[in-house]
Amino acid sequence: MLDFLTAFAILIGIYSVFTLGLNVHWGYTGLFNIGVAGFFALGAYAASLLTIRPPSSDQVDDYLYAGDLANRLEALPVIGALDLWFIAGLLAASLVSAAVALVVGTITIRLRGDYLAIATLGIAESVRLVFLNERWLGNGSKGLYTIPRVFDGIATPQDYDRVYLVVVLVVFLALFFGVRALVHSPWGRVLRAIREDEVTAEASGKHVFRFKLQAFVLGAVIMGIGGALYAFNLRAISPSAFTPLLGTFIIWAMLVVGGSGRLYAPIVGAFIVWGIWSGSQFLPDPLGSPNVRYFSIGVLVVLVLVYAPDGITPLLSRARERWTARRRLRRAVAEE
Amino acid sequence: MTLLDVTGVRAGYGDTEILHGVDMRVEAGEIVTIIGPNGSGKSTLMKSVVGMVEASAGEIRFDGQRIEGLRADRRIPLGLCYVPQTENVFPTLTITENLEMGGFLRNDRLDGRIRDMFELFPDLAEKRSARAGSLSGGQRQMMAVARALMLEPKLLLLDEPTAGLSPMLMEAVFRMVRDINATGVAVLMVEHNAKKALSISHRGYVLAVGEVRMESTGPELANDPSVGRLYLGSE
Amino acid sequence: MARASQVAQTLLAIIFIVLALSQIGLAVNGIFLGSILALGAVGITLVFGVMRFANIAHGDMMTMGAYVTFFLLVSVLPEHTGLGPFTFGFPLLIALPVSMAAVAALAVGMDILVFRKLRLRRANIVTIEIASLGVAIAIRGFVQMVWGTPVRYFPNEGRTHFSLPADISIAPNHLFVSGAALVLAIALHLLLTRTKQGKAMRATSDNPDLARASGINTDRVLLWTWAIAGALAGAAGVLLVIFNATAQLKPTMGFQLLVPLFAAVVVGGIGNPYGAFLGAMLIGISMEVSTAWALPTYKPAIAFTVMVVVLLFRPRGILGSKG
Ligand SMILES: Nc1ncnc2c1ncn2[C@@H]1O[C@H](COP(=O)(O)OP(=O)(O)OP(=O)(O)O)[C@@H](O)[C@H]1O
Ligand SMILES: [Mg+2]
Repeated sequence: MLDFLTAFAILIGIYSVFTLGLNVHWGYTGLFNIGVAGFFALGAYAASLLTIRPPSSDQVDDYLYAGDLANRLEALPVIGALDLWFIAGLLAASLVSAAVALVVGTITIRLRGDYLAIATLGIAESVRLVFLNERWLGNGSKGLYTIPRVFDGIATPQDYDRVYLVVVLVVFLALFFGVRALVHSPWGRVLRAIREDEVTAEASGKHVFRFKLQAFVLGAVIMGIGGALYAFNLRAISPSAFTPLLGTFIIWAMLVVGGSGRLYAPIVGAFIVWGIWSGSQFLPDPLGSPNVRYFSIGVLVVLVLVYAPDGITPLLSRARERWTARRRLRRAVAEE
Repeated sequence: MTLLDVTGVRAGYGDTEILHGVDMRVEAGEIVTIIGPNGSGKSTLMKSVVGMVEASAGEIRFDGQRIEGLRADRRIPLGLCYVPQTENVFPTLTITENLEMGGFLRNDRLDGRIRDMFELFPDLAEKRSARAGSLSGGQRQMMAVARALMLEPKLLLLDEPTAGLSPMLMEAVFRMVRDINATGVAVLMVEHNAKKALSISHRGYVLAVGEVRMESTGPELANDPSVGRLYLGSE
Repeated sequence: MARASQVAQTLLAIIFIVLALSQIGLAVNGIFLGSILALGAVGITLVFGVMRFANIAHGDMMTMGAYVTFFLLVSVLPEHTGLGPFTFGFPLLIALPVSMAAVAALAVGMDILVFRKLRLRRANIVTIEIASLGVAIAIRGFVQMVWGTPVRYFPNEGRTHFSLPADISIAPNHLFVSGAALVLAIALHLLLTRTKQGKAMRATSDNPDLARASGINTDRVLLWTWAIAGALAGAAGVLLVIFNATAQLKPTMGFQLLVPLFAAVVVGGIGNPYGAFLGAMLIGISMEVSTAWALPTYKPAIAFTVMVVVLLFRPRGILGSKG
């Protein structure tokens, strides 16, 4: 049970990272990205390919991946507890995502919102197709499965999940506080101004395009880091994890349910949606089937959009306010 | 008989109120002109009469019936037609199709009325199968007015019908307004060519910052020096 | 600058034509694929015209159409295959219009239950778009709940291809597909240009405020538009199955076509049904011709690339005029 909860918490942490990235795109800037899966995949593959190990002899022999990094890697020692390869993996994921976001953004951000949506969807599908078809790059549909454990030196394989949970939380918190600081900075205020009214923002002398592009790249980098975290968790990735449904839609569901543009939305949304998603597998059969899950997550998103457009987070904080108010009242009554 | 009676209307966009309680009326058969500086809410007043902007307070009566709660497409059949200041044609539809859309609510065959319009606006007849988006400024204005006349309204609302037209075309438009009025149609128009418009109007209103500041007969307003000084800049 | 862009556009057009002619057999296939894409893309563009949002559920509406036909063929209608030179039997001719009606009803229901509520609340366009993503997933989940995830097949029997000179071989089904698409396209054209309701649709797409100010009930126009887009999507879904040599259908079939569909819409000029048709042909031919050099699984990526290239030169698409 504890193991299950640890694994559950890790995934919530990872999905919170993706949702945080999407919140930067949509929640704070109004960029409509429906290709989260693309940056997710780029980050996961970039980090994996950089840190991958050669397959052991009992694994299948036709295992292909780009370059010969793994063998060269053996020559480089892992530097103690400070697992530099993990850091390098995150950096690689960030760089690759940033580069792709820069190119896509430069072409499409100037156009109206729908075009960015279509472009990101197209990029995500293209990225997935490349990793699916180019076997030399990432072992095709079987994917990569010799991704190392990070911080191997300080944890036994049995403890890996618990150590990794800490790693994920540290990364998430770093990103979370980074984003929070940015949102409250002048830069973040400009983004919100753009989101509310692009014309006025432009008129007041803000270079809207540049701000949007910066936000697009930043969000993509966060998603790429999420991809890297995902790869080091399962230590096996394949193109099937990056379909529009699993790689994009569920993250949108988290943001919408959490309440886009709200600081705590990523955590709340990831918790609720992932809770429903992975919890429903314990339901008796017809309800526990993945198909019912698709259907109910789809319906949930629509219901939230129609009936609670600001998501669950404001409902929660209102409930908390009401609760504290009632407690204060009770105390006041008691004092009297 | 009072055709249009606006009392205490407040309206705006989102949280900003533009009209702060406007009273205004149009009698049957009248030409009434509204003048006022840019941004004073003239177009907003027109829009709240036709239902494209919702009035948050006040009453709008047309032909004795309260209409402020009706949706735009429910007000039109009562006999008021509207030519917006901008974007007043369907650009990818042909001239004939534009006229057909103007007569959308008519159940009879439209051919006769379309022929009438082509007689009234011979320029349009020549271009009947051209797209409205390809028309010149003057032709487009004619097109817009013709579209609105398809339903044979009791009241025609014109928002700056002469904007951007040459002096000659401007004359033509004012002549057209009079001709239309002569057939018994009341006209409520917003105009920046105040003198000219007021001189053919029965009555006029001066609107400023969302309120009616002056109300009088057309010629009187046209000759009132304070109108020009206060509200119309150098004119 | 404008000159250089024109030269580049002409060059691109020439390259496209040369490549298509050099692989004429594939190009002909591309026209067949293009006619299916056209039915979907026209629906997306019509809905966009009156509602200003790109409906992400459109691919899954196509899927729904295919599965309704599957249900009818397997469970309701008599068993029959091999009508004339085709792999399917006469029941398909009954199932096709029924599926179109069913998806039209689904589309109208979607609008009433979801999109109208968001419209009345004056929700942001992208919020509406995300809702359509939610609807897409819900439709797919529904299809999977009812019919399962494994690949299914329409009842069918193998048929020989017609051989033409220049290495062109045409499957009879493909002729049916493009014939049906052509009939529907012509019907739509007549509807849009000859009927009052059709003209009102175009007018609403041009200028919704002016349409209302002309007494047009734009809410009703919206429902009509959804119904027509739904019917076309239903037809496209069924034809997509027949287009496939083994007549297979799977729950992801529509969603997977979303990138080519959007590409067709954008390339043609978003909001313009004739542009969508042209764009669909361009995308369909590009996708098929590309298989001479690239793996067939890359087809969506090719569609996407063509779209980006067109957008670079014509940000509003080939026939686009609206901003
Ligand atoms: N759609 C809109 N949304 C928000 N504000 C608007 C909108 N249309 C007009 N306004 C604002 O409402 C105010 C009044 O506008 P309105 O168009 O009624 O003025 P007007 O008197 O017709 O001016 P003009 O002579 O320039 O046509 C202006 O400050 C304008 O900026
Ligand atoms: Mg105005």
